[in-house]
Amino acid sequence: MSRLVQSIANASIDDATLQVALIGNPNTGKSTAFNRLTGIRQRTGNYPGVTVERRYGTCSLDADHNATIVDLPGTYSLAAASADERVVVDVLSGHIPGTRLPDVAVCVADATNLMRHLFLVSQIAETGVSVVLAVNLMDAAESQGISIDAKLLSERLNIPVVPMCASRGRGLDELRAAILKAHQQPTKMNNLQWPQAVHEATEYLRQSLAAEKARDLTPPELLRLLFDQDSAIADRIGWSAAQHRMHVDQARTMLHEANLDPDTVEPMLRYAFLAEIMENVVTHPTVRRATGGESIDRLLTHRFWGLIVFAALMYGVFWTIYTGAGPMMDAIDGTFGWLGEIVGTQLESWPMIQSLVVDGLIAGVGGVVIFLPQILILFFFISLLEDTGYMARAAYLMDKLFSWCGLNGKSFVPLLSSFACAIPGVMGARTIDNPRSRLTTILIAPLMSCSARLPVYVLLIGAFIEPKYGSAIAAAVLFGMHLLGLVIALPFALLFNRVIFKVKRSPFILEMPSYRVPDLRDALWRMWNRGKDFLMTAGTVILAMSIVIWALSYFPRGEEVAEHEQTVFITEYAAAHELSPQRVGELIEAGNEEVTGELDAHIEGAYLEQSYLGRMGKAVQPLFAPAGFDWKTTVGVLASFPAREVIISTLGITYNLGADVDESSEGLIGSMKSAHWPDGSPVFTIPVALAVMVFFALCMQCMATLAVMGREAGWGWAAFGFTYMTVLAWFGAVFTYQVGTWIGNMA
Amino acid sequence: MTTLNLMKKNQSGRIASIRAAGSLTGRLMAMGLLPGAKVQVLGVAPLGDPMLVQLEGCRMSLRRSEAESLTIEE
Ligand SMILES: Nc1nc2c(ncn2[C@@H]2O[C@H](COP(=O)(O)OP(=O)(O)O)[C@@H](O)[C@H]2O)c(=O)[nH]1
Repeated sequence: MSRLVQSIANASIDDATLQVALIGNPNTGKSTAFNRLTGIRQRTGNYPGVTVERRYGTCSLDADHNATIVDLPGTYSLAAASADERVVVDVLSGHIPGTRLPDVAVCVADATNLMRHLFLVSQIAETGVSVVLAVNLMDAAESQGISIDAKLLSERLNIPVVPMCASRGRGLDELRAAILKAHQQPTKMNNLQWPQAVHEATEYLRQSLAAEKARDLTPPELLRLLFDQDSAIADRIGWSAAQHRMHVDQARTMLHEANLDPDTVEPMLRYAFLAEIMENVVTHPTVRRATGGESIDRLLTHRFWGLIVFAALMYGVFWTIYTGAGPMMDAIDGTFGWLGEIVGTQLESWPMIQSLVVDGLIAGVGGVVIFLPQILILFFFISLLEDTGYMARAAYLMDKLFSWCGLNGKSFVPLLSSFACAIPGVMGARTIDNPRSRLTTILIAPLMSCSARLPVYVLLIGAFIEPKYGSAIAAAVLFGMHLLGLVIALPFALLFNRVIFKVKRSPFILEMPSYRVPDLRDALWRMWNRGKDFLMTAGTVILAMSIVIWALSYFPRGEEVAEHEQTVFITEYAAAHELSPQRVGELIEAGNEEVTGELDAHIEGAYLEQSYLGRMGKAVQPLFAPAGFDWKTTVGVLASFPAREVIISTLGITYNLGADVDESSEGLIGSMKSAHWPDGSPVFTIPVALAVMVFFALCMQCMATLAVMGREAGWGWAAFGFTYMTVLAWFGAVFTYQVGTWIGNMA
Repeated sequence: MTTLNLMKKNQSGRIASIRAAGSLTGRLMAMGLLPGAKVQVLGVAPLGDPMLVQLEGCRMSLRRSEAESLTIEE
């Protein structure tokens, strides 16, 4: 155990060790190589300020040398159009706070399509970093009859070339040796020579920067400024948009004058150079062998059968989550309930400590752990779907559904998972590599109706809709509540993209990776990591918040509240049961279970009403009056901000029934039906019931989701998500109540 | 001469030129969609967009709006 802790601690970025960056196109096996090189000595986090995952770990190269390895996001070029590509550029030019420039860049390339992968390698070598080329997926190339002369390629490029099969661990020792060597004797790749006009244009840019005392750029950065119109480098140099346009246009005109098209000159020249390098390096079979993947692909991307398979797969995944997670969640719930009881009995003589430990700590921890089964199962499947290459096909099939609101097909799985629970949904948004789409998906995921909202719907529909309108309408309302979030979420996605991110449409070009047999160990490993991530980050926040909410609902707790409530109770009970008050007092003294049980529930209700939370509920009730909520419902709403399912037990307490009620409790339904305003009109009318449901459907009453959003997208965005959803929920509830009442009056 | 977005399933041809707005041209080319490269349309997604194309060495999904920037010769 201590060794594990020790090695994880070593994985922190340490200036003394060698820094290695793993770079390559998506799906080249970079992560597989990273896992093999670092083993358990790795960590994940975010790059500062962006929703791009940062993974780093420690690898020992030989007995005396350790390296810190960073697994960079997959990218096709250094043009840095999106934030994850920009991270690659920033790491290579040392612009990430807290990290050094990498000493060695390991470029991972796909042996089955080597030429295209060398494009990025050539760009990276230009930045001056010492490059090692790892040609991965050698086994896949062999099975397609492709052979690669690594030695010849290494001679021509003048850099070490390591053939590799990361998934089987082949070539990794050679890679470690090559990294060490490339550190001790930095490599310098033979690269293309730019025509004179390009040199003149970059020289012009350099002089303009110098003349205006803007930031200096290195020659490769000047190339990016020249070639890439939306280059991320632009916002670093401190030019105004007009200055930038003027200088860059001028430099590009210089290319035009030399008959070079500034948009295409870079790829054209690079590929021409690479074509020369690659001559006789790769031998393709004379007849192209049809891979098994092609016929599978024909089925899986078919307009009709593809959809059927997709629906069946998704159904299977979510069926497994529901049926698999359910018993585990019940078991967790049961265990924590049992633990609470045992500890509760031990602490009986210190009521406050007892309540803190049982209702605050144990219930809080239980409320975190309960999400674990869903997260683990979903991430296991996501890993499999990604590693087999199916996820890209799913994104292809679903893309049109999301393209109009600025998202893309990759949002489908995270949003679908959010119907079970927003937490794995938000975490699953990591599979979306465009950071803006990822952020938008994270912001709308909690609007999907998760399973924790179900008890609220069941309670209110069962109590108010079904008895009046029958089960068909009740089912329709239940379905409508589930649809509501989705129907509102997509226009909101459009709004965020237009108003906040100011993008019209981002291109969506997705390479379909070859089908591969997934590695079970990797899938389990990733599943475990996600679970751990969740427990560590969300857990602490949720625990802290649970204690705060517990304190608000526990304090102040004066003796006189209980005494007063007991007097009131005795009078009421005596009147209701035609007993003398003395007799009731005797029954209580004698410990008659029926009477004391009811008395305890009344005292609990009185305490809650007197608590800070109860007072807050009464104070903010006017705010919820336009939605038709009374103070009890308002307290329920406030109490359920940490976790929406708490509403049921809170209502149980406010209605003097105790916390042990569920959504089908006759007692609770009966009390809510007979609740009256002081003027005698019922508290719960159909519009009120609907308004409460709409509020719960749209509000982010889940601390765990909030914590996970904070971790995945930053606390600012979590706060934004919380705010917009709360405002939206309030408007939704008021709208529902007002329109519902208006229709009711018309009828 | 046609553009990629107008091609039917199973049609193939060679890329003649690429002309897209902003940085998209460079991006498409970096991904291997180069003048002279062979392309074949493998199909279209159920809702009519995006399209699936086969290139030498890889297959790719792109939306019709992006496919429009690729001129194809038979
Ligand atoms: N056949 C084969 N599959 C590999 C190899 N390396 C990785 N894979 C598989 O390729 C898929 C994508 O790998 P991953 O590491 O996630 O790629 P990344 O996107 O570059 O990080 C996974 O299913 C891996 O198991 C290899 O050398 N041979």
